[in-house]
Amino acid sequence: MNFDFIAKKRILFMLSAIIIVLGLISFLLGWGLNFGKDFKEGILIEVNFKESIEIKEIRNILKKNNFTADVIQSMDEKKYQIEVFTDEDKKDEIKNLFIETGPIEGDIKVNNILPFHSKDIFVKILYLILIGTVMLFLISLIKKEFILASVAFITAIFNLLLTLSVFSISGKKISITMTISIIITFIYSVGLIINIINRISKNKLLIKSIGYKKMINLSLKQASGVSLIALIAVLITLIGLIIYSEGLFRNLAILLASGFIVITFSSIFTSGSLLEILNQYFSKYK
Amino acid sequence: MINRFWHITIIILFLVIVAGAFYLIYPPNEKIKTGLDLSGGIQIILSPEEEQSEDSIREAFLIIKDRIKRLKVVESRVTMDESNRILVQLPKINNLESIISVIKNRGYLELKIVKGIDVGLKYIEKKEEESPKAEEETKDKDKETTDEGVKISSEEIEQTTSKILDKLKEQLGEENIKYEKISDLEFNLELKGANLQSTYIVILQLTMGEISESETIERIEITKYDPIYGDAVAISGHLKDVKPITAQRGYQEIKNSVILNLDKELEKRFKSLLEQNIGDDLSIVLDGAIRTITDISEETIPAEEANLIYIPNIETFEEAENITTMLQTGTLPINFKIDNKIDVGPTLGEDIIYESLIAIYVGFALLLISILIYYRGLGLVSVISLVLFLILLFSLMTLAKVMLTFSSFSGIFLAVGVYVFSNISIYEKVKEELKKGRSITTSIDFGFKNSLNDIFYIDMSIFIIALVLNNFGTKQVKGLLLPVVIGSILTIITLFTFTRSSLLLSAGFLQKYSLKPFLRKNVS
Repeated sequence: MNFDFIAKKRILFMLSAIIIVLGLISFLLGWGLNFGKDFKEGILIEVNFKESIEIKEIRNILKKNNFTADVIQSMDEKKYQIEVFTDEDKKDEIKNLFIETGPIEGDIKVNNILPFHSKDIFVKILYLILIGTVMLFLISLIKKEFILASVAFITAIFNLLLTLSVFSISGKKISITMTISIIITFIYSVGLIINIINRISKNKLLIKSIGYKKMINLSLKQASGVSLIALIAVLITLIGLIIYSEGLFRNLAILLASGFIVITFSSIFTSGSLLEILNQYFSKYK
Repeated sequence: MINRFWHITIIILFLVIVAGAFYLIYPPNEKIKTGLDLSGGIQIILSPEEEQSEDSIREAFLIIKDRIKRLKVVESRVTMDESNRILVQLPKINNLESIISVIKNRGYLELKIVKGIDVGLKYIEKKEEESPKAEEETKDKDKETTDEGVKISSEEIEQTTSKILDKLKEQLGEENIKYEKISDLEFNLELKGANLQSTYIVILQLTMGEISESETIERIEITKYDPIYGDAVAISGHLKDVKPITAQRGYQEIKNSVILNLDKELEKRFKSLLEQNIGDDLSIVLDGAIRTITDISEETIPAEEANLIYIPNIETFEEAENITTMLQTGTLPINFKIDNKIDVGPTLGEDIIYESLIAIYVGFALLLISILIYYRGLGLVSVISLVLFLILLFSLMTLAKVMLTFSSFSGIFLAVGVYVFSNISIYEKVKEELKKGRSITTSIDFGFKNSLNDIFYIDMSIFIIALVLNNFGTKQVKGLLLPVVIGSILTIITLFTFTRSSLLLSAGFLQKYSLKPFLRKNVS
């Protein structure tokens, strides 16, 4: 594979810019990245059926009527506590739904509840990632190459922006699952970025013989081989969850799969292109 | 030959460690603790003891939320419904009751001067023999009895009471004792200036011994033993800092305590409280219960304003931490009662957990099959070492008391991702060496040697960043990143001990039987 990573930098930046702009537009239009049900008020239903009923049955009843319940907790095989995140005026509709379903013991209790999580969690996570990015910069300085460390720092930020943009374009709401995915993809991107700058640092001696651009291309080729095989391995592991599971697990698998694809390609292309650009202005390898 | 022996030793040692680790997590459903989202827990519903304003309930709700956030419980859910009930869900943990008390109790701490003790005593009559024969005999003799038992004569009560009073007068002086008759069998004593602890021993001695040998008195019951408080100063709301201090063993054993750093205003009030009450006792009272009590004398008053107070002699460090949490978060404005305490199922739903578990097994099996297909013979070693890596990871997580939750499951996924990434990095290096025309054994040896620095650099970077974020992060982040922290170290250990030695041993076998370590198209 003799792919010229650097030559494609214009296309990469155009594509990245389009993704980020689209992400921003979808965010501003309220399509994606707005706070989801984890951070919203909801309705708590306590229902006691006369006969035992499966959770799946309750979930299906709600699904058929366009309600989603992420949390259905059994108290025993007849009594359930269900959290539905919908408007307050739907309370009676949900109540009637269960009355129609089957014989109910006693009253169905329906109460509004406050959100379980506060919105500042997401901001805290972003702060944490910023701390992590600074740490990545400091760790990269071990190679005694300021440009490499800067590339690692900017690539990590760029990865985060692209990941958030993709989440936003796909209409994903901010949830606890999303915060988990963002941290996981960030930590994984640390591995990818360090692998790239490590390769570049090792191949530095080749600059004299093959030139700067070819050295970068060679390093990216070596790093991308490992990154792509690892990406395939990760996607294979997630495929089961995406196809067979439901709820939070499926959502996590989708977010992780999209996040991993974005950061794998972004790490390779962004770091290479950045190195080439920064080299033109600051580096000794002109 | 020496190398072979060395590799076999490493493999055996590694397997012994894994066997020990496996023992730690077997049976997994008992040893690996799972969280509220995966296996359910307890739901407590708190409601105000009396009708309260919406604002004070909201304030209490925020305090309770803050307390739970500070507690060491990995996972919890707190919300409030429109009926002003606060719903708290906690995983099934050992110290559940103490956690509930931290959530529910007000956490009101005050300094109180103890002026004396209010003691209530009651004579308990001896019970009649309960055998039917004895009952009949009693009837025959027409002896005066009550429903409770043999009636005590008023003379005997008078004699015993004066005996108690005389002994107390000896101890405390007549002017400090106030007697009040409540009923024929019951009386109260107000003991001014009495020491709370030593007086209790005296009263116990007086109400036992000779009196219990009386013909009609079974015993004397202490119905109340309450301190009589004088001046009081609230500590809550005047604390700059609160810290738990762990017990110290040594020449003088010191139990766990909580250190309170007072603000300037309380410093002044504390000193003047001591100066105005010399000779009395000073108590630190938490939610109405005395935590500690000391004498106030000229010597105990500090020359300057004192800004530190200790709550000493706390049985466990966990209790000290719980008190600290209560004091750090502030006093609940209202008293709560537990309306309902019930077991609840997993928040993720039993059906979804079941389906997801199958999906996880399928995903993991697909990963192992892919490794086997892609890396062939050497992939088998990877598959085995990945399984061993997971056993070690789970056992270390169990040792570190990491609860398995949705969040920590995600962390395990990332740890496996890091492991697979590192493994692929090494194998790709081995492939590069094979391309150079080296033998399998030499390629594996060189591949590992060349990638040691890279893997160490990558995994240690992940380790350091995950560790830093784990320290700064919320509870959820901690659950998520701890498996990554453990996993990044385990990756290096597993790959460069078991995997390397096994590969080098199996490489000889592969070479001997002319088996290809990788797919043909990958190595030209």
